[in-house]
Amino acid sequence: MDPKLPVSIRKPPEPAWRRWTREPESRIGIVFIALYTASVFLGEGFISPANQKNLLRQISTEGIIAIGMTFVFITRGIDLSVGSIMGLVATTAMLLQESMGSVPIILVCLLVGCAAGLINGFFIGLMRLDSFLVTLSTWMIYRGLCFLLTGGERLSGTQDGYNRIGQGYLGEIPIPVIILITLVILSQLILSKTLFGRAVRYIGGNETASFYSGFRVSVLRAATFTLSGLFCAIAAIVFSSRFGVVYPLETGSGYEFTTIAAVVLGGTTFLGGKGSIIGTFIGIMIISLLQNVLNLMDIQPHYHKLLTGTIIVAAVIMQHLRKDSA
Amino acid sequence: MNPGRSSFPFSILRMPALWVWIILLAAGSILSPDFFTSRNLANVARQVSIEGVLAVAMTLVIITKGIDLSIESVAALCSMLVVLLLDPIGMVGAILVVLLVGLTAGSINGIILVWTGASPIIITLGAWITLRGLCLVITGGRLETGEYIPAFSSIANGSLGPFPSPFVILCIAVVLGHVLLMWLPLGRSLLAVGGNEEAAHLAGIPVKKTLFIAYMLSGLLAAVAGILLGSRLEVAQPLAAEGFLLNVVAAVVLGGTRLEGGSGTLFGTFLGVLIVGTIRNFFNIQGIPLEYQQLIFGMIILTTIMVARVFSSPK
Repeated sequence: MDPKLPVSIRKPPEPAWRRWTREPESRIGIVFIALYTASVFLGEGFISPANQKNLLRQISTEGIIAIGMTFVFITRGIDLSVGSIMGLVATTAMLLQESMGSVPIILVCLLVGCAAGLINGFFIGLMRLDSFLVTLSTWMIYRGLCFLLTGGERLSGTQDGYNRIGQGYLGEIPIPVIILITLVILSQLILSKTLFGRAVRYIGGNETASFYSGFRVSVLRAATFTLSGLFCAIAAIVFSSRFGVVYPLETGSGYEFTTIAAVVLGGTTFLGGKGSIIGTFIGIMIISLLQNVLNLMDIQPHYHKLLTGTIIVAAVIMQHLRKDSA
Repeated sequence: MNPGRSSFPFSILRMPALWVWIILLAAGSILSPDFFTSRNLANVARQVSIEGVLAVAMTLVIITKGIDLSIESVAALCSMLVVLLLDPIGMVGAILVVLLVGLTAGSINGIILVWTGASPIIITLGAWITLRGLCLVITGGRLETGEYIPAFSSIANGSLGPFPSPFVILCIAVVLGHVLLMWLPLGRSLLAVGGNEEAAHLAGIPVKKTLFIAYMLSGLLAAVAGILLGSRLEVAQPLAAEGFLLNVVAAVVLGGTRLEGGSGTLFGTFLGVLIVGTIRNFFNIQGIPLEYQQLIFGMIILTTIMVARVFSSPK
């Protein structure tokens, strides 16, 4: 601002609280609080401690996957294969139960998830193919691999140490919730404070410019998909250890939609460059809340799909309205 | 890849998809004696028609640099509605209502797209899931049988001379679509908008109107596919058409239409549909389970786009 301008022309500095209300996270946070308050009155038994504990735990797997999806979205990509990667890793985990200890199983699982994500990343980043087409294909391919490995039969039975990950508590808080919150905080720090995070946002904002600024776009893009695979693997470990049962053809299917809904709801636009993990986290909490209330009101699970779809469309329209008002 | 470069009968000869299909036919007849029989070929034609009509819809949208993931659910919803409405309002009424439903669904996609300017993948993904949810909600997830009307059943199960009637409908859709794209101003607008939106706007093409019409047409064609599906199944099945999207995308991609928009031909898509149908039929003859088929189709899409990337000049 030119200091010579008369004081009356200078724009007064915006108060902090008003800047805060502009943030997508705080707006979606307000929506969450409003919905939460409404649920207290609407859903019978909503406020009970058992239900409150369940609220976050039931969504922890989707929440973990949604973090990876946020990174992918910020670079203008989409990962439809997340549900299948999760199914593949969960299947692997169950198949290895008898032959290995918990720690090697976890390592193998993380490796499988990263490898699946890296394959996506190779085609999308290095071969520069369309992320929708590639992940649509790998969606089917990874699910087909689950079938190849097991013949589609139900897998059950986990060893003692392993199932503590999903079923255990640290004090009063379920371990899956702790994993989810830790990953949310870590990822938000990575996204906003590290060079990698900044590079991811640059690529989403303007790919050509970031290429000429010296970022290795193809490698970074491959990295986001690998990261997404890694988060799917963590989710698969949490899932398989919590329930001890995996259906190779079904586990994880539908998660691609829930997570996309959460990401869009959280204010990450598909047009790239912008987004936050905290927003996604609040988005996934809203979805969990709505599903929970529907269950408490004894509405058929068929409505879940309708709900997820409506949330995505509504969130897209909301993002547009916000763009207009800003 | 310029669709207008050579006149119609010769341009088809230059399509790799044609040769792929011919090779597949030859391979199929060598590997299995049941394959190259008139009965089986008619069967292939019947099987591909529903997905074929959807592929025509998808091609029209992809040409504008968009995508319509919701066609699968629109078709499912329409197939359920047409079966359920047969009894209360009669066949003609049911068909008209369903066409209107498809048109409305497509228009809603179009309106949201044009109004918000958001990515078509996300918008139509939302519509895809919402409408599938609606299908489940209508009957509570159950199958429901409709009234049996011979005339309605013959839409998908009858024959016109040697050709199955749904295949004739597919051919009509392909020819009409081709005429639209090549000769009508609207079709040229679709190609222009997909090629370069900015330039199309500067050339005086109403970009938003064109995009809206593309999605509306896609919804309408999805409704036609839904009517064929309903006539074929003769029950209201909430999970009808599930998994069609993969085949449709495979067909469009095999037909040489690229997701970058601005190019594509309906005859290419038609050949893509035949290729997908032939492979699927061959798998079914060999008794390969559906999960493997999906896996192989996933690989086919990947391979096709890789080959297309390698052979096309880098942007």
